[in-house]
Amino acid sequence: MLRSSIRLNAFSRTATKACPFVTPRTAVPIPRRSPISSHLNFGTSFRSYSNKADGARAQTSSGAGALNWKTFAVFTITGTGLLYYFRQEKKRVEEARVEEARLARANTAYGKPKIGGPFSLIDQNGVRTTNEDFKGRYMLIYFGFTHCPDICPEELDKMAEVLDTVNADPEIGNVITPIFITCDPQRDTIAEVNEYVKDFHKDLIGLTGSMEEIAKVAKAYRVYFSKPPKVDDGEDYLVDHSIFFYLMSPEGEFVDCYAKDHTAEHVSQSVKDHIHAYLEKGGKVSNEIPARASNQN
Amino acid sequence: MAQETTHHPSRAERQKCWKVRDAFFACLDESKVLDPSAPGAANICQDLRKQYEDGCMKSWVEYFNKRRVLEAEQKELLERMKAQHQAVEDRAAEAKAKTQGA
Repeated sequence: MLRSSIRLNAFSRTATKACPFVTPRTAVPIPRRSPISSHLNFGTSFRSYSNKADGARAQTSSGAGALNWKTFAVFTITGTGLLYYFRQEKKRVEEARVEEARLARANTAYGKPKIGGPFSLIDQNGVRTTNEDFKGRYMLIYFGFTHCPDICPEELDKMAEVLDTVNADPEIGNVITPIFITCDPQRDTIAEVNEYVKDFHKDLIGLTGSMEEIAKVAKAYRVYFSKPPKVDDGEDYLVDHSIFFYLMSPEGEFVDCYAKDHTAEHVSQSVKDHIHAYLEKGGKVSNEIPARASNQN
Repeated sequence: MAQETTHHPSRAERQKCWKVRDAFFACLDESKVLDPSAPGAANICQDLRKQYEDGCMKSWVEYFNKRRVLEAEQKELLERMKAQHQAVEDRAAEAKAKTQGA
């Protein structure tokens, strides 16, 4: 220990020019030794960043009194330097932390979950239908199945109420295409879906497809669904599935989703708010129901 | 064409099913029977049970019966939690009143 401190001192004497802040630290063990050597040590280090090196050496030999104020001066200067350095460092660290927090906030405020995506399915009139057919209008999408006991029909009734409320807003008009996508494509044929959607809203579009196509769109919308593993032919069954509405923008991007415990009033207001905000930002949305082959029947 | 291939219950059939279900469940409630498949439920509300089982699809009957039990259990749990929460708050308020009084 002693040996290493001596070596450090020896080193500091030659190296202080490069890094003045090293001196006070290497000087710590010195008071254990004779006061003279301590003074000498400070004298040397002082000299290293003083231009009056010769004068300093002369004073070293002249007496301890003059040395004391020099020691004091060195302490003050290095101390002030260190204090300044640490304050700067603290400030820098704090600024970095504030910036990090700001970035984290920005990410949560502006980040949109990746929900939705392109799809290609068959509508209730047997027409191949893709997400491109609904571009320029909002979409309100619900996943369900026609044999659903109570939640789906209640939710679809709620959806119809929301549509009528939003459509009645003179500043908005008819800008939403409501879409029902089945998660039971095996039973929900085009004819089944056709009968089913009529029960809820005249604008409601019902989509079905192959199991593969349905699984793909459900995955894109983060919808979970599962048919019981063992179903005998002719035996009826229920499909377990997630029950959210998705509001998608005219560009086909996710805007919001609504759960079962949200009332029709709540959903209507939220949808209106989203559309108003979009229009205020200069967004364009079509209030014309697109002329589709399937609208002609 | 569509009529022949349509098997899912129509709006009217759904509503009829819900109606007979509610009537049957109300009857069970009167006898304080929760689980429709419990042995105690076999000898009561037999007419209403028949209407219910005839008026609703088999999978729906199973689903409604299970949900009736689950919902009751959830409600009970929620009430127990509320009571516990209330007890904790009461105790805290009591302790606070004591320290303020002292």
